[in-house]
Amino acid sequence: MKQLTLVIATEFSATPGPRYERQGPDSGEKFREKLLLPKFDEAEKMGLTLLVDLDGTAGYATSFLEESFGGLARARGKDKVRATLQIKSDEQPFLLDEVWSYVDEAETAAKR
Amino acid sequence: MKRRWIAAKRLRYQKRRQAYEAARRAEYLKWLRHKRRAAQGRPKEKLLASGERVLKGPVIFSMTRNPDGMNRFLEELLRERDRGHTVFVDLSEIKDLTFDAIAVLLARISEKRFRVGGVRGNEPSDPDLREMLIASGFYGHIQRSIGVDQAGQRGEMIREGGLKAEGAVARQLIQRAKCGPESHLEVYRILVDSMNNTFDHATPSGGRLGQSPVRWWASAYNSRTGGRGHFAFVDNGIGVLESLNVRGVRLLARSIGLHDDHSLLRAVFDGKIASRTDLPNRGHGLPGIKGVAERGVVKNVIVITNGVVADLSRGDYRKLAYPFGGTLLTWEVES
Repeated sequence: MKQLTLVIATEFSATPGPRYERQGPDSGEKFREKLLLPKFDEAEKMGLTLLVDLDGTAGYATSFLEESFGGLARARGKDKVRATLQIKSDEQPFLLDEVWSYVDEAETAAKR
Repeated sequence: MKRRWIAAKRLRYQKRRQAYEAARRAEYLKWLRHKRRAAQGRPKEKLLASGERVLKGPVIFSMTRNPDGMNRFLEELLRERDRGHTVFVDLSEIKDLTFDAIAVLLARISEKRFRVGGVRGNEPSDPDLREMLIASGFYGHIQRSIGVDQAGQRGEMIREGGLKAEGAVARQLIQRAKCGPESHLEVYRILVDSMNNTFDHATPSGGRLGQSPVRWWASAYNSRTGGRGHFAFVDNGIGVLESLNVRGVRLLARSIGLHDDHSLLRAVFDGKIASRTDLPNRGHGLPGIKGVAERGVVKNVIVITNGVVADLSRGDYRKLAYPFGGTLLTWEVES
């Protein structure tokens, strides 16, 4: 299946920052608004999957990942995210579970 | 003629005698003051110059090995400064020294209140500890405050400060500390999440109500001999547990049986108590740091905040007799 790819280290920043823009540069909020949501929508429109590559950066704070991927699930819904999004993290494989838990928790939180 | 010469000689003698007696009297009064202080069980303390106080550093000068002694020392340091005294930190008798204590002392004396003539000090008498202090670059980081020969020598310690969460600063610190590739990503997570927490939670209003954010200090020290990198992250904010008070989280915790500060902090790190923002998607930072400790690449992750010291690597939480104002995280990695 054809897919779009989004490499955070080269297309966004090698040093992902905090949750919100007011807290510091290269935030999860900025990543979601400027890159993740537009690419996700594009992939969905074209019937493709979106592969987000987490490798190659200096690391990730929990708040960056939650705001990016949890925020995506809050904006587009867990089912759509599960159907369209794929994550790659060879350097830190535990990040895969972490990201999907943020996606799942985000919808639970949104229902409250 | 002869009589006049004798009178002048006598006057000179009397002057010398008076000066000698005044000096002896001053010595006696000083001895008496020390004796009274000792009888009252108060620490030996002397006035060096007008408004200058001597404060002895605890013999075990280490936040991780002697948190109570260090917290008491830091509390006294701030109290004396707030009274308007210049503080002379006497490190001559210390027998143990760790990097975290150096980082905390630097963070404290970097506060505004110490900027002009706030603190002076001496070196440990123990040659090994003196060497360690000089090699750490301690004096290079306080050249404004202490005029000693080593000023300007930044040594092996790297220190960065800031108000916001800056990934680029965290990466720079990690690279200069020469962390191994495995620990690089984990240390980055601790640093950025800690910066984030300081920005959001270190002020009573959590960065709202126009309060300026609290400054954080991150230090890294890679000793030439040890083969280990040591990190410390310090902020002089209100501390993790105090930040829970703001929105009544502590009251809520008491209702579910969490009465002690150490069990409350354990619940925060376990992710059982939500962030004070009240948003269900928040509060992942501290459990994330605990996750790093549990994966084991980063060793000896210790948190000291308010009245609790937590060893996240061993899962041990302990109450302190003297609280720490703010939050300190220390950890080690293989170089």
